Amino acid sequence: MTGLLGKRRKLPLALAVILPVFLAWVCAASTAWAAVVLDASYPYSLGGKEGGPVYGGSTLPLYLHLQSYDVPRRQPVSVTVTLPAGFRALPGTGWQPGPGGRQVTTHWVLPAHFGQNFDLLYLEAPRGETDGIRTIQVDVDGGTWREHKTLSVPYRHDGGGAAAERGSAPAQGRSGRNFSWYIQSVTLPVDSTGARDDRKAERVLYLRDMAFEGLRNRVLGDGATSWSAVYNHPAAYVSLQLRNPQRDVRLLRFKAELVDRRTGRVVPGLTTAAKINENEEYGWNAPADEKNATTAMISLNGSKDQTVVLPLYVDYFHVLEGDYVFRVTVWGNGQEKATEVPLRIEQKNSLGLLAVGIACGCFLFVLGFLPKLKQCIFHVGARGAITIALFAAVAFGGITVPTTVAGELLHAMLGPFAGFVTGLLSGVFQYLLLVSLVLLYRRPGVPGLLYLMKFFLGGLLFGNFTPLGLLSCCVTITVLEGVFWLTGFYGKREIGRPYMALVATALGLADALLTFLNMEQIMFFYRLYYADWYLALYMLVNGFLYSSVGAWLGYGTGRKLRQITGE
Amino acid sequence: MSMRQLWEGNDSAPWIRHVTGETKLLVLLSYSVWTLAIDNPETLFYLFAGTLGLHLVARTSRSKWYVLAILLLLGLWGSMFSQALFYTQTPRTPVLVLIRPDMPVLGRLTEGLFVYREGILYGAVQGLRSAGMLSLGLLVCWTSDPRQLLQALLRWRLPAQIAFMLVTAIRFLPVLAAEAGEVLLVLQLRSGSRRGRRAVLRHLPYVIQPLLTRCLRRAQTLALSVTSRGFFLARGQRKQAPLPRSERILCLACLAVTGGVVVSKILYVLSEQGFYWGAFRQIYDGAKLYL
Repeated sequence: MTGLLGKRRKLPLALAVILPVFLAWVCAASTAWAAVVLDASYPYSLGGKEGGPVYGGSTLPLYLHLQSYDVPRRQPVSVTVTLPAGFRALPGTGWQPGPGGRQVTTHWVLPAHFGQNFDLLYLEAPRGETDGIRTIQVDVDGGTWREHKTLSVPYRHDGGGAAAERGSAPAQGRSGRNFSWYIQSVTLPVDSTGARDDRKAERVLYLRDMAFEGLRNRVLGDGATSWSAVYNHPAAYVSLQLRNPQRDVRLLRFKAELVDRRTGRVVPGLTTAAKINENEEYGWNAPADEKNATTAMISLNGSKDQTVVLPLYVDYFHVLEGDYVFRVTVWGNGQEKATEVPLRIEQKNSLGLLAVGIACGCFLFVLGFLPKLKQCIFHVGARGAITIALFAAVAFGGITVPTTVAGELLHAMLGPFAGFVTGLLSGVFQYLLLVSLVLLYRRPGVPGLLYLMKFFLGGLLFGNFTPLGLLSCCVTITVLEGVFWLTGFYGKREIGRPYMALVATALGLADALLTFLNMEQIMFFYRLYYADWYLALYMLVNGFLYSSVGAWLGYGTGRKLRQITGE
Repeated sequence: MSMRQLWEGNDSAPWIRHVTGETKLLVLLSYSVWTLAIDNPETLFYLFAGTLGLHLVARTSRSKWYVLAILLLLGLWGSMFSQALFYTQTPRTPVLVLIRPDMPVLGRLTEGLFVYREGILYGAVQGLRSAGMLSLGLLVCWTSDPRQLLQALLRWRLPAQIAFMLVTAIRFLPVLAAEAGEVLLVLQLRSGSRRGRRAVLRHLPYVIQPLLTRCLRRAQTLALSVTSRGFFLARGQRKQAPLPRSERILCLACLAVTGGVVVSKILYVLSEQGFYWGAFRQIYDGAKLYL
């Protein structure tokens, strides 16, 4: 019993001794089993082409990777890189240079259990040294342990093309060590493979019309439009030709912006892929400070010539048509290169469709206005109706017949500029007749009846019953009735000269609008093209000038005719 | 052949003169819609050739063929001319420089004016639209009495008062032309110089006022006559004979084809915008190939 008791007393004692020993052994074993693997590579290439020569003047990354296993707790380590003579580490990357600049040091913390630490340290090779093998030493000091790696690097004083490249490099990059890579050219638009379509005009960006995007998606059953999907789809691709005579390997940042040609300010138009309708989401390439720009990362892979194809994202709701300066900025590791090329943004607009839509609206208006026209006939009486008919006959004989017969001949001789000659009839004479008629019969519907008569006469006698003719007639009736109503012409007691000058100006402006709408309809229905300047000139001369002059002459004629009728 | 004879429709084949105004107007309107909807150059050409074929069948006189040919050629040339200058699609090849982009004022305003080779061809193709409409319009005009077409408009519920105004305008067109000639002659005779006696353009601006004065006087006389007979307020319409069966079939066919062309074209354009439905694939194919 005593022996048993004695054994029982010894057991806790034994445990008290064995357990700490066991624990100490476990700790020691775990520390002993902990491992650190150091991996270093220079020159490191993102493209996997490692171990090549280092050329004088080039900036190449030293890749450091420290992998730790079974580390019981977080552990600070210091990493020291000893450079060969003449080599220099680029500043600003978290590394502190030691005395003499041959050594650079940084401090890492190994996480508990398992961890990986890695970094790229950019080293600039010296120029003009003799070719040979250089040695880079990497030391990792963990307090109780050390890791060491030696890298042998073949050095060559020149890349073979660098000297030649210096002759063609941009002036701002030649001096000193700033010259390493530069933007040779910018090409756009290209496709996603960088190929250019010769059928497309260079430096012209055609954008799709997003006006019906919401409707399109709803009709197709896709529900509400996913604007993030729309914005994430590149509007075009830009090809960047980079020259890299020093064969640098590095990561660069790219930024493309639209710049106003006059003010030089960055204007809205380009955006990042990550933009959504809430305008808050940021993707991998869209830091928060980048507005109105498309950004991306570029990897210089060490080739002397490198073509990079980058997507351009457009902010469809803010971009405007026009001529811009397309500014491309590429920067990284203290170097920044920018280049600018002209760019024209053209959006497929719906002006023709809009004009046809307005014309259809005017057609409906005239349909609704027909009872008023009939009422107008009763108001002006038989005499007024016959006067309108005879004025329409004069308009047909004096405008439609000559412009149909002689107009074709003029069109053949003068081409699109024939309109400026025939416009004397369709502008001056037409408005002379109109204003003199409405001075005789100041009632809503009189201009409408005149134009309706003219249209029917053209249809009955020349077979000009076309949808375009009908729509143009309806637009004219609507706009002119609107102008007379808005200027208060029908209700005015006395029509004096200053007031008539105002009405003539208003009629000129209205006819400029009519000219624009009719030309847009012609371009839409007949698929014809007219230059913007031609349209503007046509609106100014045929629309505003001829019509205003005609209206003013009509005022004089109308007053005399009123004297004749004794009213 | 005088201008008046040229525009009278009594020398064409009897069958086309007997076709009612409604049918002619409906065919004309349908044809206009087809030409506006169609983009395919071959189809446009066949449509245009069809109108010439109709002129042949209608036995259009030789003098009218001359007029038609001149108007068509001038129209086509005009279209080619304008599009050669303003063609904006790519590729385009400038064959002639009219205004250099670096020319002061005009160059900056127009950014250069060139004659583009592709534009000439494009203008010819697009000119087929207006050429076809002109050709068919003239056929209708040359083979119909204006009263026949007016009758058609009345059937389509054109108010009688507007119809009356139209008849008045048509009736007095030759009279007004003669009066304008008389005024012009008087102005020429009153001219103090020899050159003035021959000039027409110089006196034209002065023709307007006397002509309009005569219009007013004539309107007063006519109004008295019309009102005294109570003609102007007449509202009743005589019952019209129904369309012949063959014409009814033709009109229905025209409407059906027009509807088909318009719907197919709209569906095809919508498919280009992303509104694509698989069930209409054959319509898309047809529209792409022929429209």
